[in-house]
Amino acid sequence: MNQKKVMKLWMAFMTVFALFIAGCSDESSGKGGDDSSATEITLGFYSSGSADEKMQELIDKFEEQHPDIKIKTQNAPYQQFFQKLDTQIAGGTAPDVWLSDGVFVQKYAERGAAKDLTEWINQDLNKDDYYGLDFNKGPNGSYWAVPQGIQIASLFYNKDMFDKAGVDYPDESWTWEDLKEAGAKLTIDTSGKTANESGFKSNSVNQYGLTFFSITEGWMTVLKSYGGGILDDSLKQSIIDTPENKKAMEYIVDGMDRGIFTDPSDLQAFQSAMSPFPSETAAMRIGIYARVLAANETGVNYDVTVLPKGPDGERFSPVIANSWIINNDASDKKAKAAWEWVKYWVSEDDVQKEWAELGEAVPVKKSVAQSDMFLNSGDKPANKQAFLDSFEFAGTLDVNAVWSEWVKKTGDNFNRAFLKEASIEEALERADKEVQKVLDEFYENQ
Amino acid sequence: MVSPYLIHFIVFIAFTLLASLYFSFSRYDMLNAPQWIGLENYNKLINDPVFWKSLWNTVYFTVLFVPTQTILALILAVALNQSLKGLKFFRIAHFIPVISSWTVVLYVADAIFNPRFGLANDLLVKMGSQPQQWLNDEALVIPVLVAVAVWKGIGYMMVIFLAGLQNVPEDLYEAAEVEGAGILKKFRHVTVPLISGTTFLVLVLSTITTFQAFEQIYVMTGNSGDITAAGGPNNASMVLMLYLFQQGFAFLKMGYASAIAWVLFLILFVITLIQVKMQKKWVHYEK
Amino acid sequence: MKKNPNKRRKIISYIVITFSAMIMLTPFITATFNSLKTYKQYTAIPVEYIPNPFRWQNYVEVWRMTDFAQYGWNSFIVTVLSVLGALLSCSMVAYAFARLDFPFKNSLFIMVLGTLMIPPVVMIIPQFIIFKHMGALDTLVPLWILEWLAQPFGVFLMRQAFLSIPKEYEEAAKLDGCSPLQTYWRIFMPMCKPQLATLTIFTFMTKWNEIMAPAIYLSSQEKFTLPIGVLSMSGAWFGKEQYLVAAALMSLIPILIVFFFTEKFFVKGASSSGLK
Repeated sequence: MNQKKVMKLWMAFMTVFALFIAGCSDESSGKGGDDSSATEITLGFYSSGSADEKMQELIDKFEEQHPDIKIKTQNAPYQQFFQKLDTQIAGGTAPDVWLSDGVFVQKYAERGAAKDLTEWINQDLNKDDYYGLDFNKGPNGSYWAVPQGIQIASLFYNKDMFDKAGVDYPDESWTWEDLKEAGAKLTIDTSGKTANESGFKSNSVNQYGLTFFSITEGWMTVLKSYGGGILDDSLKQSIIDTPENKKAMEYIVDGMDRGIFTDPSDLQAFQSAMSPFPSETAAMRIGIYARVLAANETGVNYDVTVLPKGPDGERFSPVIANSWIINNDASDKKAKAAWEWVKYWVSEDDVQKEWAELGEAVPVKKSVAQSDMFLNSGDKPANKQAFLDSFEFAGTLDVNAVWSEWVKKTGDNFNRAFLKEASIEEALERADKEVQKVLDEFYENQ
Repeated sequence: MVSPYLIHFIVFIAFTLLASLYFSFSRYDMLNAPQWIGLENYNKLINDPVFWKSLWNTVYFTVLFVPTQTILALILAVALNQSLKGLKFFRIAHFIPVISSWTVVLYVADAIFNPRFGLANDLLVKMGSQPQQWLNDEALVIPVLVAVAVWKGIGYMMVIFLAGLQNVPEDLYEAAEVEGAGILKKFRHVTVPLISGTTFLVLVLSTITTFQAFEQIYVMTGNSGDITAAGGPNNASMVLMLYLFQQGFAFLKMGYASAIAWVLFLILFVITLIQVKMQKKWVHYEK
Repeated sequence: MKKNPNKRRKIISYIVITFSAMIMLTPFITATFNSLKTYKQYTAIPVEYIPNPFRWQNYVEVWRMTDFAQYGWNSFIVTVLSVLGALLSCSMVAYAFARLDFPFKNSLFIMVLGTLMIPPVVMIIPQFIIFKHMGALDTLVPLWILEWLAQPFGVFLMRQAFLSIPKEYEEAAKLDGCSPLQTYWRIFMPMCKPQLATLTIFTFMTKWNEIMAPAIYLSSQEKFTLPIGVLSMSGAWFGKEQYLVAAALMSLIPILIVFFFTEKFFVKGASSSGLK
């Protein structure tokens, strides 16, 4: 009897509760319903501080130009954005169009989450006008995404430190060996000794020659300019265990051993791998374009030049085209509206210029990137042309559908070599085996 | 009266369990519908060295963490279970880490274990020893994480013990004293048996939660929340939950991740059974 | 005779506790100093412990550049609703398990224990789908609603507590004409204040500090709770990482204040047992 009463009470409570929740949901889903003529699309992007405001401004302008399209935004910081995106795709709630880190485009493409944009691109865009379209091309020639902004690397150097040490600024004639030689003079320990002097303590360095970080701004760049690399052209075969890579690794490990390059545990000490250069704890860095933001903010006196050559004169600059992806599940109407947004983004000069003003990426539209507005804006670095010159020898990071996974396997093994917990041969051999396994597992099931 | 639990069970547990069980026999990347592949995930699991390593790490972490925390917490609780001056201050001091989130602990612990400017290395060097890499050292990473976990959790365990101790009637101690028992004897023969119920609860809970702990490792070893970087160096701090999460969410192998989850579930089930058996043997319930 | 061992015990206790309190507090003090430095001084070797000068503007900057008040409010809502839900639902279910008879009681309880062992990550995707159908994505609802449905930990904890209450109380209540519900509310609940306090603290801490669920369910910045609000700041200030320390410590302040004023409830409340 009494138990029943309690049950009833609880049930009543739960009903109220359910109504309450339903109330909440109505509120959130009812918003767009009043204006049935407009297409509402959801736009997802990862936030980066000041850029969010600009993005909203550009969205407002877009809505003015396209009264029939309404944009709802969904943004989160980088890590959270991508973690949630996967769950959203699974749950069918992903945005209709989203900004993807260039290295994830293939992950979505090869798993069928991205819409094939080849036809629309051929129809609406003149490919020669833009940087980076080809960096998102799948192995079968389809285009899966349209670049939003380009990240390409060059060599950043701190002019004050070079002046103080009496070392000539780097230029396009430098090889990686030249860089290390100059770096040795720029590496200073707590007692003021440089890396070339006897009694130099490589475990208490106050100023590093080069900050060296992970794949893009670290090993991939060196490996490729030494003629090595990670995957072959098919992107399904590992080519890690090669003499070229071994030579490149020997170069890196020696630099770390002598304290000239930051090793993985040095970087952890600085809280962020990005911080040694802007905080003037390192004289040089391999940096993608976005790194000018932090350097400008802290007011470092620096410039950039193209990355050094390998022993055979080969050069490599990693490039990442962060891109708009249209959801493969979006209805035709929404996909078309999303495409309007993408077109607006890349083709409108104003949009390209306003975004470029943030200094966060190299503009996608070549005419804007090559204009005074970008090259001679008065902001550092003076030699922005170096970024554009780098397109000549630019390459992607062997991006495929299992990129994050093989990067982890490679990185873990390389780090062991960097910290001298494994020999270079051992690290290359193990990385090769593990990466091949990752590739086989995925592609055999395709 | 069990209806809330029933709703919980039917809607949120039974459904999700069946779904995840199905996933564990499928190839499922979250973006496409799951595809039945039978036992393949489990087969792969047996041959996956990282899985075995993370299982070992999980056990190692738990074995190091649970007894250390339990014993230290009990000692502190006994010390605090009396009228002392400044009692409030001491309790607050031990509770601040408890109420801190792992995000806070990340930066607070870094003040100690930063390989460059941390207090620990500074002291080591001043005492003439070699500085250590702490979280970057394959051998030290788990002990350091355990130390931080004990530091964070001990105040909470202490409170549970304190509540248990205060249920021990004072006259029992007085009786023991009349019989001439010293501090240690009283502890062994009065305190321990009477709080064995509390101790059991503490042990069961901390074993289970430790086996599933991963926020700490995710936050402290992952470079600013990067799930693929967590568990390093070279998987030395990779635990099952983290591995599961990484496989599922970073590499989109939800099927494989679900298989790991089920193995983890089985292990926990066995552990709990053993603990329940043990409970009958040595817990003294007050009659 | 009696005073001597007591005095010795006190001295030993003081030594133990003072030492351990130092270990507890030193990291916070060091971190607080770190948060008041320039980045240069923060990463300097040899280490400079005392900031020079004390840069209080670090905190001002962090406050200015982030949405702290909003994060704090969100955390507060989630935590309060969770604690209320846990206290009510867990104790009711536990009471049923401890004192009432109903079909499949034992197998149900084994299931409670079993669900305690299920790694929560397994359920993320299916639960995500459920919440999607409820229209609860990007709201705070998924973060607290499960607490209203009796989480196994609380049930387990409360059942242990109820089991230790002597049957005589119940029988006395029955003689006075109390229904099971009244017995539960008037007798069992007041007698289990320590465990209720423990459950409060436990739920409070878990929810206040939760990282995974908010990261998955919340997408708008204005809905963020404190821990992911702070976590999302890493990467916002390259070369000024001492700001992150300041942000982290700032996120601790509200809970520290709450704790300071309710410390009696948090800790001592746990000892005002109904058994005495």
